[in-house]
Amino acid sequence: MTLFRLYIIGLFLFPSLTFSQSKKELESKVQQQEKSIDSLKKAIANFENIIENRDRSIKIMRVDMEKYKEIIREKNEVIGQQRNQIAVLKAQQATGSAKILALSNSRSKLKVSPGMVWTINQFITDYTSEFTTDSLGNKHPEEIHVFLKSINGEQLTDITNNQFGPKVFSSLHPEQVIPFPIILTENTSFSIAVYSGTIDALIPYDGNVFFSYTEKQL
Amino acid sequence: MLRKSLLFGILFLQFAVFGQQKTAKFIQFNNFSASFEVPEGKTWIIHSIFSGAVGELIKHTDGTTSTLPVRIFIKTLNGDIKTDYQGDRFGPQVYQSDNTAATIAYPITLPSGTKFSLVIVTGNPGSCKAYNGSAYMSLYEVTNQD
Repeated sequence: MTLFRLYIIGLFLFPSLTFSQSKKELESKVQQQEKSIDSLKKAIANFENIIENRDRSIKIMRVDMEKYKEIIREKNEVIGQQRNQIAVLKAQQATGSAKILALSNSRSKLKVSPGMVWTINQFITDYTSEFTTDSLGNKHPEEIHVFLKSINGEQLTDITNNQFGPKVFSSLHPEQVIPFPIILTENTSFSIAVYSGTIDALIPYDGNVFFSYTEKQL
Repeated sequence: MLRKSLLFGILFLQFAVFGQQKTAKFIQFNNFSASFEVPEGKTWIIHSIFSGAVGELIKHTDGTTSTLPVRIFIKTLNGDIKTDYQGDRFGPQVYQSDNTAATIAYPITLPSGTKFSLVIVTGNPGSCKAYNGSAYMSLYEVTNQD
């Protein structure tokens, strides 16, 4: 009988004991899950913060990128200008191309081309046109002279009026020749006149005059 | 990095600018327009000054002919009077038509701000008179570097 009572009591006590055990375990699990959820919430908040920061960084970088694009455009402009300047300086420092032309009284006019500069180096022609013999039988060479007849339309030489412009060649008196080089700017025009004989008895000389000059861009 | 590269590029280009800008000039003048001033920031390198070959042709009674040269002198330099041919005062000669070697040496380099004037005469010192014709000056105007 006593054993039976104990059995009955046991039957009632055991489930209540196991139930209380399960409840504690469940409460513990719930607490752990809550902690996990909190952690996850914090992690999500952290990620959101990171994304927000990245968005902000991307925005700033985009603004910076536009600024850099503008800087690159400006610098490219400066580089372009500098390249142009270098090209101009190279052209200015260049010696230019040397040229020689055969001139004469019938082909005596020249004009510097637009955008060009001429550096006249010299005029060259013959030493003498002929020899004259004086009363003693001595032979004398006839001097050849080249004068600038006009510059930019202004007449400088007119021997009929005893007007003698700059002398650019004198076969017997090179000390009478104007100093070279002479630099002529674009569109400058000039003509020459070639004579032989003495200054008071000049006659046109029909020989060629070689005109040596260098031409380069402005 | 980008900025450094750009800066280097600009500096390289600036160092690559190896010369000074220069412009050719060909100036016509006479005794009424023979005053000049080198512009600020420029240098003038005068290569040649010249005028007519003969100032006057003189025929003598014996039938011979002689000539009088054309001469160009520096009249004033930075306000300093160099030539007064009527007072027989002659400064540096830059052109003499019958002896073109009898001048000061070319090229003549003048710094920025230099003021000068020239006078064109015919004859020889002691008996000069003003020359009516034109004269020419060819030069390079160089931009000074900072």
